[in-house]
Amino acid sequence: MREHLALRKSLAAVIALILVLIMAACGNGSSNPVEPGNSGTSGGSVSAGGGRSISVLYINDPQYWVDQAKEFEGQTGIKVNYVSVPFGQLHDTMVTAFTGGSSDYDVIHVKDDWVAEFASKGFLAPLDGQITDDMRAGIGANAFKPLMYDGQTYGVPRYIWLTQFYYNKEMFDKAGIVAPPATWDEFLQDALLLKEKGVVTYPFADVMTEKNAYANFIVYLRSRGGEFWDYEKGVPSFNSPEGVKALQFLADLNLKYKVMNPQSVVYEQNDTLDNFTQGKAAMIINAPHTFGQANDPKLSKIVGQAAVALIPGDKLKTASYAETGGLAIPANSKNKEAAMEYIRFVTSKEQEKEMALATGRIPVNKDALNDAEVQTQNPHFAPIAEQLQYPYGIFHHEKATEITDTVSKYVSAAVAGRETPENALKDAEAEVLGIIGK
Amino acid sequence: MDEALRFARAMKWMKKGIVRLISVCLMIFVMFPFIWLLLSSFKHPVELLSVPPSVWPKEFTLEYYADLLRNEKVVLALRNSFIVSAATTLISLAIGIFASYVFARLQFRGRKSLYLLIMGTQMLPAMAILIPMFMLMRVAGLLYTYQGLIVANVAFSLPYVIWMYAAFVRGLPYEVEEAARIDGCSRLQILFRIVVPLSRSGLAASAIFVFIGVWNEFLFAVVMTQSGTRTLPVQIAEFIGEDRIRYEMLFPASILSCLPVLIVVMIFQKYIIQGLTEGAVK
Repeated sequence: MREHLALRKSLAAVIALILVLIMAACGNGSSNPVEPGNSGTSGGSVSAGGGRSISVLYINDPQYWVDQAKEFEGQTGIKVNYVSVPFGQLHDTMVTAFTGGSSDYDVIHVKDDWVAEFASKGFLAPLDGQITDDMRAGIGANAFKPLMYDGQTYGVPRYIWLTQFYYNKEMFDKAGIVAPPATWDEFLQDALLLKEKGVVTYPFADVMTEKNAYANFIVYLRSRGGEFWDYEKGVPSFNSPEGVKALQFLADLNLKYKVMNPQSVVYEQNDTLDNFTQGKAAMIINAPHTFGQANDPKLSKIVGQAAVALIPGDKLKTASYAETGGLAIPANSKNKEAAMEYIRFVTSKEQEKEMALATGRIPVNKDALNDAEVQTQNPHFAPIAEQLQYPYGIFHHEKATEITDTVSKYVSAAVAGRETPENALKDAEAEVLGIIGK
Repeated sequence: MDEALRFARAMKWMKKGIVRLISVCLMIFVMFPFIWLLLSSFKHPVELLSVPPSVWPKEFTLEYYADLLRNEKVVLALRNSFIVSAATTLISLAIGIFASYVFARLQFRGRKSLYLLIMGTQMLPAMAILIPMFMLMRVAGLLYTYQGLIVANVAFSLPYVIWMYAAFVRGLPYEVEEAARIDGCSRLQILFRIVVPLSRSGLAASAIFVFIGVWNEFLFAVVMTQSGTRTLPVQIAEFIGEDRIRYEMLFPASILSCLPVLIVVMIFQKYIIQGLTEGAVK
């Protein structure tokens, strides 16, 4: 009985405390909802201070993005409501907002495939009229192409997420290899040597998952002279002799030569990078953040050992794969003018340089990329100019995700030995044709 | 005779030993992910990433716990999670008590259909109603507020409370209520003086399950909150960045998010178990 009385008292106390907290919090929540400003003025919402304001949706890691927004506020007086979401949820958050008719965001982060997806549904505002000649000159017409849809520009690029070839110099030295491989044949010889000499069990790790194997498969395919998609006919072109050769090579690396980490079929980019930074792989194909992390003593056991080179080639000297990260303005935004001011600011040469120094991302502004300080701090930028002379564009299609998921599933199966490369590509092609209704 | 007795004793001890061994193995199997998480939360990133992984930290560090507690956004998210979870629990229970009693005791036309309809909402995947819910909240002006998220969570928790608590109410002897009616109690008096006190374990169990569910809810929280109203699961997910996964922050944050739930469950553990078994047999 006494126990029940005590329980009742403590429950009453807990409920009372909860109610007080909730009332206090909801009071704040309702009187000052944390909602982006969108009062409807054409040049920008009017904030409490009487100035304009915009809402920017992106991530907060690294912190640089948030600091950059603050710098913009300081220089222009336009208040920025910086909304960050986990990177993995960025796409779905935008889709929900746009489908739900929201006008909450004025500047959003886009990449090639998102532009095709969003622009085709009318979610984005065309920006051709607002992009100045200076912007085009600084960034270069080619860099805009990935963010165009149906002849119109929907995004302003600010960095490229370029796939590069990273290798461990010290491991190469131990195996007596004097230069990075220039061709896939040399790559295989080097890998076999590294394995034979016992330098590392699996010299190479790659992303061959059922979700993302398509990206690096495209790299191998391109270097052999093939292409993933025929944009003129609107049909897949990966099921070709070049495609089979590329996939056979990948399967052989794993099954015949055993130089590819067999875990590659479950590895994502982070995993291959971790493998490399922990000294468990001598070679990987990965994005530009690899270099910074490989040289961070808090994260890496191979500080000072990472080097970068052109991705090996075959028929072509090299080929790559790159996403373009850019900024766009949602069609529903009520602050398009202020939003464009923000985009002009963050894609300026000075800000691009700052970004490259702070985050290691590859700026699209040519002057920022070639800046001496930027190049010195980022030695992995050196081969970029040449790498970009060869095919690197991302695959874009309104149904890109569905198509790449399908191809990845079959590529992964071939690498794991569950299907022959010929059958895998044949089946993948048939399924993709079904997806696009051809 | 002595030998037979010794053999029987030995067999008995062996049986006990095997049962205990299996129990310990099962316990390790169940607890291992949590123990791994706990140990990992004290490691530096370079050790977290090492291949093969080490179980015991070579160097214990509290550095990332300190970083986490210094991070204003995490502290705010912790507070927000508590507000949303507690409010949802209280509201769900407040409405659920009446609804459960009605479905358990009152006979009216369409009772079964209505009950099935309410239960049917549980069958809908949350993803399917995410966009309609978002639109509704936007029109109602509740987007990015605590109230909006609480309302969304109540909509999903309430059927669960009704389903669980109604089972407890049905299990109570009706004669007690009849006696109370004879003594002059109204329906409301019966509910609050007889039914609720007698089924407090069921109430506690329902509350805990709703609280845990909302505490861990992610899907609605990620699209219906912003900086000021972010809940802990969403804040934790921000450690999964574009460049890398910040495991050194992710693991301590996960431990931190377990603690309040763990404390609540430990306090009310007795009532949850009692409640669950009562609900199961009656």
